[in-house]
Amino acid sequence: MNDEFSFSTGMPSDEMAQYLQMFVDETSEQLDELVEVLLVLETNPGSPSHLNESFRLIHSIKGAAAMMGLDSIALLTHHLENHFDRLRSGLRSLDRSMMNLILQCVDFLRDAVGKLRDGKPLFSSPELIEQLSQSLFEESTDAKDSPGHKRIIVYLDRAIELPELKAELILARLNDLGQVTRTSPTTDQLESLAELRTLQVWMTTSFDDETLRGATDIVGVELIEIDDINDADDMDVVDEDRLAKPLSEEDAVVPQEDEPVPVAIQADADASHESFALLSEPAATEASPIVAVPVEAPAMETVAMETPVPAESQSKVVETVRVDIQRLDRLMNLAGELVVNRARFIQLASQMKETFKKSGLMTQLRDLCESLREQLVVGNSDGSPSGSSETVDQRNREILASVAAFEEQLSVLEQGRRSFTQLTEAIDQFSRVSDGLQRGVLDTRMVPVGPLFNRFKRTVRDISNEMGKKVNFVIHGENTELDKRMIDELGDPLVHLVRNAIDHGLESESIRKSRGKSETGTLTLEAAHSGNHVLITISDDGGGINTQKVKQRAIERGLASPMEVDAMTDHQIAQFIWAPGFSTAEVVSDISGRGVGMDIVKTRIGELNGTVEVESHLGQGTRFVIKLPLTLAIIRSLLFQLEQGTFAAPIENVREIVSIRKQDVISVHGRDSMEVRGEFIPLVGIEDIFDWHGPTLCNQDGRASEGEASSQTLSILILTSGTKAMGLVVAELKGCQDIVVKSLDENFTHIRGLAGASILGDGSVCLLLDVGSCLELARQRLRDRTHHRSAIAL
Amino acid sequence: MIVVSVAGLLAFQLMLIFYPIEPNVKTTSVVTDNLAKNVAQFVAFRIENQTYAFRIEQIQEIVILSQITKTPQVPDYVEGVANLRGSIIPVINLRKLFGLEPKPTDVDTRTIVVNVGKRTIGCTVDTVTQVVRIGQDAIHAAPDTVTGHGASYISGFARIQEQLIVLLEVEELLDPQKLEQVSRVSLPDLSRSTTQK
Repeated sequence: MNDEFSFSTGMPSDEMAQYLQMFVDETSEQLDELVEVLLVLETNPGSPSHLNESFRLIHSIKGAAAMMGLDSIALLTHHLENHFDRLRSGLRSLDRSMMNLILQCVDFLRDAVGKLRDGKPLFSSPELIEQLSQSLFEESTDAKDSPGHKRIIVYLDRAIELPELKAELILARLNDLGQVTRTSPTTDQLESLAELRTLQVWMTTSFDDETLRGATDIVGVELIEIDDINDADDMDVVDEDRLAKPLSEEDAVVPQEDEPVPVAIQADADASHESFALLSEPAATEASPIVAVPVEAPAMETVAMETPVPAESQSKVVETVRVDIQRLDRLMNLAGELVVNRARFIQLASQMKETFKKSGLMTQLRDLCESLREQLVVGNSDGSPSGSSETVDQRNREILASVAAFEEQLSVLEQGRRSFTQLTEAIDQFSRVSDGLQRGVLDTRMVPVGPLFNRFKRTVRDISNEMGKKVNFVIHGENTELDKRMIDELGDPLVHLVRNAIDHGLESESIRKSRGKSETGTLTLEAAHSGNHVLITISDDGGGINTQKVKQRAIERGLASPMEVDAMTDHQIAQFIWAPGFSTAEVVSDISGRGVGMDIVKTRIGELNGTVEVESHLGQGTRFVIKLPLTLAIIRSLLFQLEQGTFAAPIENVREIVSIRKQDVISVHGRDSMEVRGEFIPLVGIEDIFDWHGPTLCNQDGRASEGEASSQTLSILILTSGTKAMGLVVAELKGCQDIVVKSLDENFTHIRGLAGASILGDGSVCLLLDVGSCLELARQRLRDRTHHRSAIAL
Repeated sequence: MIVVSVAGLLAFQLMLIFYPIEPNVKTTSVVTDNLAKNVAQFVAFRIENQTYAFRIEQIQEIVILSQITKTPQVPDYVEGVANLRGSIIPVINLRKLFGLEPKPTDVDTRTIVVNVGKRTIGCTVDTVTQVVRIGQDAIHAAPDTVTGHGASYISGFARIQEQLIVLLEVEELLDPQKLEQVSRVSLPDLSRSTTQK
């Protein structure tokens, strides 16, 4: 069997390669959708609409893969399709092992799609396919080749005695011929029934009607009706009017020993709720069901379990165009450059204002001309007696002429002034348009967090199953939008947090009970806008962070002394979880607790210019709040000049700008600090943060000697990140600007302490500081330098 | 060995390849047979007294960069980053990478922009001299005393007239992951030995 599949790998055939991107995009979307439908099916295994939906999704993936020549995908989906075909026709029920197998297949497909995206070769999945066909085969043993679904209605003679025994006999006989999936009334009910007139049997068999009739036809049977049932939907056709009582037992179910409850045997929609209740009970004891309930942001209600999860609510049809993200990036870059140019225009205009805007200057000049002319005319009419009046006259006339010429120039200038006013208006207009364009381009990159969040339903299901904890997973604000790139990067950190929440956060069932909480823990994933930021909150109602344990670990690991720890508030202690390698888990579990993770979460979110904070109440739960900027592409920054070039710092991180005299710098043990309103803030130069190679070292000395002029003032930028702050000495402040951030690692490598770079109006490159890591770098480098110095002294 | 100087047609070809056009870039062919199929074009440049060359396909353009912004936390052979028509590229000083004394920028200094994988990287050289056509048979393996200690970025030696050209492999030389290694095995010895000649 293996051989048949092992060669079925494949890269897309050449002529199809151009459609590969489309295939990858579509398939990953379909897989996301499929997982959601599957999760609904898990809590609601019989839903025909969801079964059909999964069948449709698998079918379309199969079709696309076959067209692309991707045999390994096509083959696997083909097998999956077979399964779903049987599932939806009621031949097979969706039990847990089956669900796990299907989810494994989905994982394989997702992996395969990922490989295609990266251009890696695909591998076939012989094990999965074998498992799939085996489980198909198991089923087929009873049903032979082409099993049909039958419904047999047996009308018993009213006069016979012990009709329940007859019924049992009939059932036993039918069981030999095929698989009885359901009866009405159920076998359990048979004995307790006062009167048995009819017996309905649903079964799967490959035998023809005559054989069945023969098997059923025993003494006491009045009439036998056999119907063919082709589809799960046909099961609904139960002629209730023709059936004698008892109707109340209509929807009861016969579980086949250990076999899971068959799925596709629901009666009509009205009755289906009852049967769901019955169906879900045995399921609940063996699995821990997750109720994934997407809720619209404002309505914070939790929907009960029986409510079908509304896939319909998401099916708002919006017309979309699939666009290569690189095109959007290019557009974004252009919009960004427009923003830069706008800034340049505004700067130039403000420089020209000096000359033009002073309308006073013009009138003054005009008045000056006027008075000059008057004086000349007056001088003339006085009629000086001197004989040289002719030369004076001539000179006067010349002066008058140049005054006239001057006035002419003045009017040109005046015209220029008018054009300038128009120019400023045009710039205003231009600004508005470029703002709009920028916002528009940004909007195209914004996607709702819904799909990202929904992916966690699966994660939660898997982990909670593994941990044997019941988790009620609630999602809020799934329509909140975030930059596409941010969503892509957010997956991993969120997985860490969600895992941690289930593994360490939520207590086990017994502990929850003893603490008076409901057995099912609640995990909430929430997104919301807050000003220019998006807040993503992951909260659980578990045990919270055990500060005692954290304290111990912190002391053990030498992160703090016992004295320091005792002086800390619970909130401060909770912050230790961000330290690298920190873990308080009692057991290192497979899922989390290896002490890698939290610091990675923090770094990853830091890379997105975001922050993550933890809030915890012992016994009540933990809450992680991730704060992210709306977009990565454009950041409002403060530009400043240093000897090494122009730098920018995100305005979010600039607390204030202060100016202090050199003599006010407090220098203790070679480290500078300053006092701002009673608070002492470390003072650093850019060379304390970064290693600039060679020349900067002498610069530093130069700075020191320069410092003799102690009355000189320093411009200090106070930068903050989280709760920490430092003052950075800058040479010149250049003002605030929206800058378009470009990554350095695209062509180069990531530089610690820099969030990226941007191109300024004059074409030069400015570096954008990543203030959080700058603070760490400065601390680290100053410490190193002290060590270095002490080493030299020795 | 026939040395042909092709002006007109090739200059037009160059226009398509280079921006801006280097007016003083000459093309020299070193082919033993005019019909030889395996003839490759190389862009030759000088550092100190040694001539090196990159394969022409690996070069995007040759530019004169006026503004380079210094970057911190990087090895000294990285001069900084520069704006190349809207994208930010790192600039690597080949002199420093090869462990030679730095030399101030002058009128001849050029930055060769190359593509390394998906990255675009600039590298400054003392001067770009010419485009040469070198037949496969004129390329000799570099002595293993040169390449032996990890200098895999040297793909071969070629001799044109009296001049020895060291052919460099861009992907091996300027890949950010390999730069450290290159700078460690840099070859000032090689250039010294050729100057003595």
